[in-house]
Amino acid sequence: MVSLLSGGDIRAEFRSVAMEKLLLYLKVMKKRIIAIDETNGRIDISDNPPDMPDVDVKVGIRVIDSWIRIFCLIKAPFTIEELGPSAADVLFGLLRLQDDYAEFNFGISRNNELVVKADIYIPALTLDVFMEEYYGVLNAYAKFMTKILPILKEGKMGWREMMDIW
Amino acid sequence: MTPQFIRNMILNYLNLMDKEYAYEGGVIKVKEKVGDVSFTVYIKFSGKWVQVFAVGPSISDLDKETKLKVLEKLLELNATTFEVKYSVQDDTIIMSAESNIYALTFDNFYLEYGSVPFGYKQLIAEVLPIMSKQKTEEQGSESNNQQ
Repeated sequence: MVSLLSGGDIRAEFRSVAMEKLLLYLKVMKKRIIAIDETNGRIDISDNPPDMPDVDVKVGIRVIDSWIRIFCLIKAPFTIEELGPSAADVLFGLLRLQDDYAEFNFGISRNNELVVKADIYIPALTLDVFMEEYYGVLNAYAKFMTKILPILKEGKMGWREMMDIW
Repeated sequence: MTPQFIRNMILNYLNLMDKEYAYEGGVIKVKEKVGDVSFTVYIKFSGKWVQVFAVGPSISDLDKETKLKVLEKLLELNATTFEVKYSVQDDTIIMSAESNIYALTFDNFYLEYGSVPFGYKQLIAEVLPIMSKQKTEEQGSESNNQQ
């Protein structure tokens, strides 16, 4: 079958279908949507991470080309300098952790933000996959904030401790 | 879905992709090449996940400053690249992509698989130069010492 849609139209169509599915899944999952920008494929959720009932965290969902990115901001700005002498150990710990876990990964954005994220290829988007990735990100956020960050602030964190705590 | 069923699905996909592979000890090994560099892409199955990965260079011999720059670059690439994920295991850089078995279709596998050689290409372009800079500096200081 020959598509009559141009590249830009296909992307817009892809984004529109993905947004429709995402909004249905979020409704089924009873999530609190705080912002929707259908034109640019952006949804923000306010959610309570596991074991953090009093904390509202913003979970961002972005439809970018053929991908859906789910992310939580962990720390901004995140600079290597503030980690002091244990910087290499902390970065190593983040990269080591994500080798063990398929559901999420850590990244440092161009704006120097430490984020935890997961990407889904739009044709692979189903409720089961979305839930797996969404809660993977949220759980990783909760673990990082409750168990890793307090020790990180004390400057006593080594990668082995990070692995043990996780 | 049993592990055998998933394995057979993936072997079928690799055949369709004309890949040269071997299945040994529960792991599929596929020959890949980026430019002049040959490497192996491994495919493993664990629980709900199919993991596609390639093993990069070791960072154990890097000095502290270079190691920090490399780790920072890997985390930056994680934020800017879709699907392929950079991590470390026993001081070795790993590029991997995971697919949930519920999402295992040819289209999805093709993309997940392709992201790993792409990650390797990106490693060669953006990470290896940081590592080789240290070696160049070391060689420079050695030749200075000899003089």
